[in-house]
Amino acid sequence: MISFLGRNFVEKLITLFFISIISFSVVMLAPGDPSEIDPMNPKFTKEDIQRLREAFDLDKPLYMQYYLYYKKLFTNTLLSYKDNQPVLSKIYERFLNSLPLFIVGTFLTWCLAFPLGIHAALRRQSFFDRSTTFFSYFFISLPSFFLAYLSIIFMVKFFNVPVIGLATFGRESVGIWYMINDRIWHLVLPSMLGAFAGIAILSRYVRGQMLEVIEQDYIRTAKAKGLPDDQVYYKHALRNALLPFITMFGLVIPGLIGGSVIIESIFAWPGMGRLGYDAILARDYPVILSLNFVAACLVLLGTFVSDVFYMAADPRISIQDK
Amino acid sequence: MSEDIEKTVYRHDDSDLPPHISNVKRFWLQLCQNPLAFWGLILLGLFFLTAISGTILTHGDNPIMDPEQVRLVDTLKSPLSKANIELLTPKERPLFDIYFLGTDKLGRDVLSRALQGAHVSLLVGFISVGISVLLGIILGALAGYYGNYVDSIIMRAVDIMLCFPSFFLILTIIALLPASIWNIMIVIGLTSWPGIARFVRAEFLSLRKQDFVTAAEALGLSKFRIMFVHMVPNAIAPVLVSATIGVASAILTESGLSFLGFGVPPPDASWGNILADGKEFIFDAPWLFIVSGTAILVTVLAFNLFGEGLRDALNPKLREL
Amino acid sequence: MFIKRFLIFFPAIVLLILLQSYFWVPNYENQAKGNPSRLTQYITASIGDASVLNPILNADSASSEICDKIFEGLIDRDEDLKLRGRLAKDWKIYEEVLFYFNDHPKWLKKGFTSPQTLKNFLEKFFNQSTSHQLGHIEQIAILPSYQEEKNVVEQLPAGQGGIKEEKHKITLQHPPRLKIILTEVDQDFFSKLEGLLGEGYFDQKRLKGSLIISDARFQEKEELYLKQYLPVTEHNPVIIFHLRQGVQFSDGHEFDAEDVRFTYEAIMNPENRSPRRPDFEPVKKIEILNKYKVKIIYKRLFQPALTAWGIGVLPEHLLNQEQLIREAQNKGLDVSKFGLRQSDFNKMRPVGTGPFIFAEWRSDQYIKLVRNESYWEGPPHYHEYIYRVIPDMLTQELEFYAGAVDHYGAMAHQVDRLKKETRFRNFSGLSYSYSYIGYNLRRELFQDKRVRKALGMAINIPQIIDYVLYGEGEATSGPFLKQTDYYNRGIKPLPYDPQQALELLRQAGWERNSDGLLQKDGKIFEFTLITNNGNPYREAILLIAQNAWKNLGIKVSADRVEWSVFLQKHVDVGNFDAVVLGWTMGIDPDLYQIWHSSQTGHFQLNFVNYQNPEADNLIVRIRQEYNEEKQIELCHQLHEIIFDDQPYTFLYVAKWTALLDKKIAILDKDDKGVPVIKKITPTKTGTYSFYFNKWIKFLTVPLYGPQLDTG
Repeated sequence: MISFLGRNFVEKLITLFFISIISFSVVMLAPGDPSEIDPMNPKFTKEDIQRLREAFDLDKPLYMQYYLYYKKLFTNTLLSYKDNQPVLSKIYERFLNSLPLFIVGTFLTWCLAFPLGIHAALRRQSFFDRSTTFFSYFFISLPSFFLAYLSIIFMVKFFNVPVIGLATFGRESVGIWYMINDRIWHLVLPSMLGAFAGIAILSRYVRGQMLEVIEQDYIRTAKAKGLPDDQVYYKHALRNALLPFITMFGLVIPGLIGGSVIIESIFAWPGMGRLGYDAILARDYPVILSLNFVAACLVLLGTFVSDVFYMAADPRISIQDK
Repeated sequence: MSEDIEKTVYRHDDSDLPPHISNVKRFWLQLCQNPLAFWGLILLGLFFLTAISGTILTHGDNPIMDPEQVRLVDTLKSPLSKANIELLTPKERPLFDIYFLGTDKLGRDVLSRALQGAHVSLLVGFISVGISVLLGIILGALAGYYGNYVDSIIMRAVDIMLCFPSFFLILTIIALLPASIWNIMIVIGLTSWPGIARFVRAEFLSLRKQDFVTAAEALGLSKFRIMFVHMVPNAIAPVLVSATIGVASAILTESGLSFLGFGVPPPDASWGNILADGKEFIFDAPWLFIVSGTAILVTVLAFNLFGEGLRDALNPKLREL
Repeated sequence: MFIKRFLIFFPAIVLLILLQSYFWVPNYENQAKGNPSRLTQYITASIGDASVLNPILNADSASSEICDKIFEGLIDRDEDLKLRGRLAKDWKIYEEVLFYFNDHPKWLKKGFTSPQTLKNFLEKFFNQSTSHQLGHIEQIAILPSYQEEKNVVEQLPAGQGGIKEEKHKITLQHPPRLKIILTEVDQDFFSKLEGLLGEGYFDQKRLKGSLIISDARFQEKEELYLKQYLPVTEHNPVIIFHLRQGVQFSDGHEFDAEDVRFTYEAIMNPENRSPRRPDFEPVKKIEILNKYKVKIIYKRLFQPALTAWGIGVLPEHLLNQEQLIREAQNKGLDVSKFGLRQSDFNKMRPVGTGPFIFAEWRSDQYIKLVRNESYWEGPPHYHEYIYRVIPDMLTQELEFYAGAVDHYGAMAHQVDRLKKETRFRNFSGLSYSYSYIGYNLRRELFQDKRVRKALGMAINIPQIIDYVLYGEGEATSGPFLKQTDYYNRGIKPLPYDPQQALELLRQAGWERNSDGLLQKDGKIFEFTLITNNGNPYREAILLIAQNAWKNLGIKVSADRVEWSVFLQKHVDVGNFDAVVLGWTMGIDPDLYQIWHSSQTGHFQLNFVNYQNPEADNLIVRIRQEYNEEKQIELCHQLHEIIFDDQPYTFLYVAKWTALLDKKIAILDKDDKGVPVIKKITPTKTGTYSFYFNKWIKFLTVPLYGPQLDTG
């Protein structure tokens, strides 16, 4: 077990190394030399390029550029162009803002996808199954920004309640209970919107897994033995159907930034996705590049944690086969 | 988030996929029996028709419906309203003097812009998926056929790619490159190959052990020929499925980029930027975002349903059930 | 089965917890839910953040809006746009006029042998005669002759188109002067005095001998220097401000005359690069007469200089040299490079005498002000004024609907819908701007004013207002702000009448040819109408005008040009036929830059090359006239002349519409001290926030009128 952990850890470290190279090399896409400004690309002025060269030490040899960039990043001396704040602290601050949105969204996804998926699997071809299938496809296909605006119009037209931002503005002095609920309320819409597509996909998947497990011999045996259906399905079948989901947990983390860019910018949510979008608009390259790197690191961490869980939950799984 | 979960879905599904393509008739019957897939196909047919007629109607130097025609005397007209004939020159008038789907803040006809958008979506969907399929097949085939260190290098690359939040990575790259529809297609293509590579690899791992491969090797055919002439056609089924769904997600990604202002550069219309232009007017001109949002929804839904139907039709195990 | 039940109930509970939060959130109807202090907050939103909270340095609207709350000027404008005192209790304007004693034999013969005899003559004249036109004279003084040496800096062309500056010395031999103090400013004083003393008394050329230019290269500048340094007559308007006593800055320090002088000096200090500097350039000298009395002497007649004193007064005790040096030293910065612009005052601790006090600034989020409890006019009802930065217009709108912002500036296309909303009170008014089509009068084509008039009559302006502005605009007929008295309401805009237009063109010699195009002497009527791209309103006007003129038989090509090219290649160098443009203006009726014939050069604002001596004379007289009624009269005349000449086709003045929560009202006290709730109504000029300090928000829409229960 320790050896597995160690090997996995080393593997992840190697991946991290490559991630760091890729994250950094994205900056190379920008026009390199001031004399080579692409006239087709109006995004860059000479001053921008000069600034880029200075911030990323583009006149030094490649390995030095790489070294200096990460040195600056980790010593928190890499500064944002926009307000000269250290990039890492900025990202951390925004990460804390994104976290509740992400947690509630994921929580909703997982809590709703399982009952829906299991129910659909157990009543295959029923009306419930068919309609959930249709709605899954519907929500998978629905662009999140479209749904976001529909729901905003709905909330504002019929309820006249604030839905934008982290909390209602100007309520610093209210009681704690009001404050908490105000925060929760502001989480509801964006996190639900983020969760819809997730629920749709995950519930399809749970249904598939469940169907597969139900067909297994040991379930038939259990049923033949005369165990009540509920016990067969919810105890024996579910446990086995659940296993593969543990690995999935690590892979939902990119949603922390990637999936949230649109939702956060619509809801003026000061999170990581919004930070990234604002940085892109302001051409704040230190922030953009570091965000990519930080997000990739988070995913890596997530996969590592889920690998560990997976192993703990099911030691039968052969790790060599991965 | 959605995309990444999908990828994992396929990772666990791939063992179910058949080693060869079933015959066309059976496949067709199978497809028609699945109501979702059937409707998906019909929607898809409608979408292709729209995109083709849209291309014909909106392209050229003097198109029948000009999506770029600015009519400042007819801004933010609601759907089905009549054009302001007195003030418009004959060239500026919309088809039949009616704005079937209204106009935007510059008085451009939303219908013709939506038609042009269909063409853009189609182009982005197919070319970017084409790129990712090509890359996925080559890398997946190499990994599956050679195994060993080739395999581990390619699979490590897949792992690395999966670590990046793809939407944000695309956004970053697009923001650094000059605005152009080709850059968008290439970037979407380059960031969405890992899923396909995985399927192809899995297929190849099982095909590798099959007799026809051994026979071909014994005949002394070149490895290249074995891989791409003999093995790839046998591994194409899951690729087809994920390519169909890939088109859906590419269209979704493009619309998201356009929505954030990094998509197809103006004056070209795409559904995403019609919606982005319309967001300021959600209370005053809701048709702007409803038209484009619905167009995206229906098209993506069509591809998704058809893709799922395809998967069912190609899956022998489900057929027996 | 536990798991089954868990799978059903757990998500249900999670959803319930999430959704119950709705009942704890404020909504539009109940904004004070759990938060009574919301009623004492005024929250407004802006697209951009402020940049510098210093009235003499700021140049953006966000900063100046906040500065208006924190700082206060000596004067401002009341509901009717008349000037009223703020930090100045009142003020007095009079004039000192100066002229050189003329020692030409012609005048000596007339009996004006010395300055003293001239003075005696004048004193006698004023004491005896009462029917003269020279106004009331307070005092006459003699200023003895003196010699002065001056260093003058001139710019000389250097190689390669560069410029180098060169200093040289001139000597001025001032002859004795007479100084007369008039009780009222009179721009015609010298011409009247000349009538008394005799034609040609004020002869500038005679002073030639008093100027010695030592550097031969600058001999040619003699005439210029004479006018500048030895003006034969000089108007020196004077303003005396009586300052309000007992007013305190928000840090408790008392406001006095020193602060006024300091503010002036800070503006004029070149290192501060104040954008307000041109407004104060005509000031000659500022004198402190006592702690509450300031005397400002001007170099020349320039009436708009008075309104410049609306600028917020800075606290001298916090920003004087000593304080700035200390701040620089504390920060470890180079003292010589540290000035007002670098001070933290502008960002972290602005201090003024206004109704609100700066409290907090979170960049890109909000700026918070709290009320000034010791404001001299009584503290405002609102306890807090919060200026939110919301860059996205849609977000602003949503926040307004939800009650998290109290004010929303509606866009033209929304006005129709929002005016119907009963929850909001809406106000609309005319903006301080107008749009026009300007004709390049250098072009032969446009020299006949009948042609210009015809072009204007062919354009259906009500239609432009309807289609382009969604009805949110008003036609205008002249160059003055429509909401001021300077605008001549007797002049109606040109009617839309294409028939009459054709008739006018026919009179001017333009007839339709066989192609239906207008033709004169074998030439067809054609020109190019341009505007800058990116402004949808102007682009629409461009198309509509092109179409209208085409119907007359004029061949018009329309072009949209990128803004910088538009200015540099066309407007600034007078290279265009006709342009669609707009002006944004201040309230002062000074039209010198836009309409005076001296301003027609490259990069000047009279780019249409309008030249009318009668108009020129009026323009100059308007800016020198200190009597409001006379000034208005002159403006009306000028308006008439410009309208008659039609160098522009005046199109429209756009309207703005603002929405306010209906629960906000004015809380005042009547004569007996009973609180009265009044509806917020716009002033004559459309300003609705004039009584902002008396605004307050109620829980529900209040009943207007006297309040018996004062609770």
